Amino acid sequence: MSPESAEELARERALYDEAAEQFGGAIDRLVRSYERDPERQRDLRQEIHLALWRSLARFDGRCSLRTWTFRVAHNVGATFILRQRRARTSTLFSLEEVDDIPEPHPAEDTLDRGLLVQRLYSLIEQLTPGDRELVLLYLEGFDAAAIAEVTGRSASNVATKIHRIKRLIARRARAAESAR
Amino acid sequence: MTEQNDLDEVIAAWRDQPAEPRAFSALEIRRAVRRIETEARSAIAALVIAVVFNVGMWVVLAALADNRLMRVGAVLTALGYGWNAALAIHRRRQLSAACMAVSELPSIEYYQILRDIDRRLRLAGGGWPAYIGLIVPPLIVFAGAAVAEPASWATIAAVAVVYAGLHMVLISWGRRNAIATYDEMERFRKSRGLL
Repeated sequence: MSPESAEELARERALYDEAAEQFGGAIDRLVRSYERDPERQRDLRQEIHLALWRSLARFDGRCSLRTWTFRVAHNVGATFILRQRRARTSTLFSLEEVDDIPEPHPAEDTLDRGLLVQRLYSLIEQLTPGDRELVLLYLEGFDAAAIAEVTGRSASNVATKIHRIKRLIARRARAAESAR
Repeated sequence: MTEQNDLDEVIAAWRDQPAEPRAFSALEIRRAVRRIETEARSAIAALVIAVVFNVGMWVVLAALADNRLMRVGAVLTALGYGWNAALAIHRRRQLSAACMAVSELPSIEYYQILRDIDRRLRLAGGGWPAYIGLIVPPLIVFAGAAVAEPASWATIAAVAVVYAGLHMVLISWGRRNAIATYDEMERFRKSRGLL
């Protein structure tokens, strides 16, 4: 192995370790939002980490490692959904439509915070990949500008969507609160 | 409770989910990448062996042929098979590399590029290279056979017509099927809000 490629490999390895360390938890939450089946969750998780590893050879620092990692993770997640087109025929909704869908009845023995998170997952998995990405990025603490950078949408479009997401999530949280 | 409080509670609950142990070490990922690359190389090697066998068969026919027309036809057929297979492998590799090279793009651009890649991949198969490479050269072989065996020309012509017709049907069926799958994917992308 030439010194340059060894250096390159060490750089990729360091970047990957940093990304996995910092955003591994967020990737796990993303995986659970894209796929409910534990077996397929493992596959998707592996695919995301593989794509991330392979992509890091091209990482040139023009965007942050966080933006890069989330772009790769969401793109792999969306491709995963497309590949399962024959297996899954459920209808997905936009943020605007999903507000009209009745919520599933909560299980009585669910803990408070657990119930909240469970409701979030049910909400997210009803969304189209584009809106799903927005909600997940919002929940991971991205502001409008950072979401626009990850998704490629205009800042004004993201701001409008975030407004809807906030309203929707707050309403769902209140519903969970009243169900306690 | 205000809306902001509700949101804060949701976000806190979301981020406080129990963490799973780290998914993969860098070493495991490198191993997995190597395994996938080896599998891809094995698949290509299997395809190359099948093509070499087919091409070899035509080369043997060219060596044993009764006349020059058959020899030329057999050599052209071997080249046609080789050319089409090489083209198919090259396109696949090029497109899968392109697909991998865009994984870090903003999602909207990524969906668009993926759609274009899918379209190119599906439309690439079964075009004029397939018609010219897989149908015309064997017809030259049949013509050579008819010259070598003038008494059986009618039978040879019938076999040639069946051969050409069958290949034309198969090639255009494959192409139509690929386009129909692309159209289905387009409808599916629309239903998933990706278009």
